[in-house]
Amino acid sequence: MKYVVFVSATLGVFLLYLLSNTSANTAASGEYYTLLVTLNGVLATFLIVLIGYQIWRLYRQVRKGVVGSRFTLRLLASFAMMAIIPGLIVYLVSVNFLTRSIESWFNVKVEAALEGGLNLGRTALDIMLADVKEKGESMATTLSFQPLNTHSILNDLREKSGIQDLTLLTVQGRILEVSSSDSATFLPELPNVAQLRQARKQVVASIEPIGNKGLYLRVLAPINGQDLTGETRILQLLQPVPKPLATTAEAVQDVYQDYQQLSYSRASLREVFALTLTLVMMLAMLGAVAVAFVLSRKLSAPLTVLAEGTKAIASGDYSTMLPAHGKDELGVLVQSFNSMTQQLDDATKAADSNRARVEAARGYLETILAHLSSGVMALNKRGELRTFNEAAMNILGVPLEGYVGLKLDQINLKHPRLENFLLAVTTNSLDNVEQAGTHKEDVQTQVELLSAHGKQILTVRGTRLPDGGYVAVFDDATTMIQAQRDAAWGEVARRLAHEIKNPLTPIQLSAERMSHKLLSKLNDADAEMLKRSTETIVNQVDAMKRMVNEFSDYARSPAPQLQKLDLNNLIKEVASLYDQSSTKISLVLEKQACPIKGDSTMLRQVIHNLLQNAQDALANQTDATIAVQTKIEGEVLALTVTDNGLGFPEDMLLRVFEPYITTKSHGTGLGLAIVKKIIEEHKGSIKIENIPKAMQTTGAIIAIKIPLLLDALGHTES
Amino acid sequence: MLFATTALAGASSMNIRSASLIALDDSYALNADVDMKFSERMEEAISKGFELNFLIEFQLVKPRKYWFDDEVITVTHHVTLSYHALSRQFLVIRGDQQKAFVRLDEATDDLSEVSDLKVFQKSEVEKGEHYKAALLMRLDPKKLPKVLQGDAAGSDDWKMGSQRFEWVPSLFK
Repeated sequence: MKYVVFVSATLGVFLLYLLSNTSANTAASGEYYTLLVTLNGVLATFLIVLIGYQIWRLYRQVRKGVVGSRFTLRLLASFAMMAIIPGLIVYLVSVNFLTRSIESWFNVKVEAALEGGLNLGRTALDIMLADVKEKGESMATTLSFQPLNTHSILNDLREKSGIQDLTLLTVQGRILEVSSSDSATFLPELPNVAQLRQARKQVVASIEPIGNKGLYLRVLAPINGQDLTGETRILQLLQPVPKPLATTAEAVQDVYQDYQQLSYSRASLREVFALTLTLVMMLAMLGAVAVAFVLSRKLSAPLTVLAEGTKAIASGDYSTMLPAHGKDELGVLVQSFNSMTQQLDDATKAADSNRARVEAARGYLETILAHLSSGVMALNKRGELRTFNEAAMNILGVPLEGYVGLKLDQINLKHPRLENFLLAVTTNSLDNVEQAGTHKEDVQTQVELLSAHGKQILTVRGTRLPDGGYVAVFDDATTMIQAQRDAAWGEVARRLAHEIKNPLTPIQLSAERMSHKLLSKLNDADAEMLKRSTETIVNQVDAMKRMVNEFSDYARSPAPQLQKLDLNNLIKEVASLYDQSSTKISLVLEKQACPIKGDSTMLRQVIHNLLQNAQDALANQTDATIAVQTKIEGEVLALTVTDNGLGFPEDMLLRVFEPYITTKSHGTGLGLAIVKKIIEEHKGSIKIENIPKAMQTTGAIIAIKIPLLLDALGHTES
Repeated sequence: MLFATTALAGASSMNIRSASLIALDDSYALNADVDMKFSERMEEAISKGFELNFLIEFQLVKPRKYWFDDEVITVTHHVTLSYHALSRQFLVIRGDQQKAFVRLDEATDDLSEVSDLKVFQKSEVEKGEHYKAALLMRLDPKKLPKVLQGDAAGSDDWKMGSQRFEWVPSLFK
């Protein structure tokens, strides 16, 4: 746009210069006038189109609300006004002035003066012509009395009259005699045919401009011969108009003609001038408007840039650096804007990095919390649940996501099972509130909860947060306490075995020896009593020994000898031993082989124990059935033993694997404990449940899961 | 056409009535009769000292069927008509030959007659070829006063010109 405008402006100035030159100059360059007018017109049209396009573009920008467009429009309007108003005034005044002044050039006085001058010249010439004519007539008369063959009178006549050229012609125009004072010309200028014809009858006088010789007075006088032949001749007198007179007269004539021409074409002249002026005005104004466009765009450009920069900052983009702009106020503005942007950017970056650091710290804490095995619950100062971790949900077995923002007693209403725990937490937090400010060691409380899988023991402790909230940390201590209990029992069993076993053998031996020694010495009745007593001692000691052995087995069970075996075979083998019993054993075994890695002796004991337990439970049952089932579930082998007895009492279910817990009147209560121990040594798990009441029957389900030997399984399958 | 031109009584007109080529000793000369009439405005302009320059354009071409005609000869002659106010005479100037007339119609008659205007040498044409001649007479606009040139003046008076008169000359008899 800028270049287009400048090129057009330059072109316009050039064309206008030519045009004004052509208008002023009356030389032959007039033929270019039309071309120049057309060119200027084309340029003006081009400028109009250009400006129109620019205005249309600007209008669209204004409509769209492009930043800076309104400002551009205002600047443009002011510039254009500044250019157009004075231009128009000058134009109107000039056109008016021009038309008036052109009219004023042509007034009657000038025309009359010029015509008078011309007439003066004509009169002077006429007088001279009349003189020459008179001389011609007298010469003709003189010559008419002259005989034909006499000569040299012509020269006399010429010298007497002072005429420059005398020529004697025939009526046909043939030269008979010439007398000239002008030695330069060889032949005189001859009259034309019409003149000659006219000259036969009367004297012809005329003023003639001859070629480049200037004005001449020509008189043709007929000479009627007085002799018998009566041949008519014609005398031509040629007299140049005196040079000063001729020149002046010619000058007057030229000016007169010029004036007439100008006068004649003054309307056209006015039109030409007006057209030229209009074109000049149009081009100048259009050029001014075009330049105004460029200027206003140039002026509004930094504002546009600033506005865009502001927009960018408003939308959060601080990276925009505005291009430097001169050294004026706008440049300073741009510079300070840039430094402001820089500062904002720095501040934002600092804030961002701080936030990132905080985020990282939070992430770090969250990760720790999420991977903590302890459950964590945070309350705000109103006692509402704020945060919790994954472990908390796992331990409590309650999805806590929906309870954020609820008070603990509200949660309690939904999960009455958690009452103990929630109560403990509430109490602890209230205690803490009362003792706020004093440093008191965290109180650890143990809480028992009833869950689907039995009793759950939680240890709860907590502390007050700086913001007045409270954080409760709790662990599922069930397993730990279980383990502690197991370990204690093992120790007890070992001690018992050791302490009790030692005196048993001497007791037995002593009793036997006593019987042996005394039996023969006693009477029958006494002997009988002794024998019975000794037997009782020995039997009881045996029983005691067995019991102690069982304890010691439990306490120091040997390491299992793991090898590949098929559990199905083992089950069939053991079950065959119970063929004779009254209880019916139904085997539902997995069709394919169930290879596991295990100690056959130990596993045999497990099956044996389970079957024995079931049989004992069904002792008084009429349609007693034991179902043994194996099934491959993914990577584990599930073995379930189900009976249709009365099932375990609810309170026993939780501690059924503890030693010395039994429902039977006789028995050590070590059976299931040993089973559990063996299964755990096989990396398996065991679970005891009663058949749910909804099933309309009773009975217990013992479910064991042992990892399969996958390699062997894959092998057999392939 | 003729009717149309006569109908415009006031306007200037120029019509070539006839034209012919005459064989001279070693060249050809053009004779033509032009019907010329000046409008009142023109006559006034002439009497006010305007100098009118006429162009007599003669062209000899060899017609070609499928291409532009071959221009053999193009000759332009200038004739000037002007008024000498001092002597009150109309001057017709052909080259360096000048004729003076007292009345305009005499001058016009002289102007409208083209006689024995040498246009080309005999050696310039070949025997047996077909030629076509064309003649055009018009006012030379370049010689007019500048203000009357171009469209700005807007006057048809000053666009005087004849039709292009074409004929087949019999060059070789």
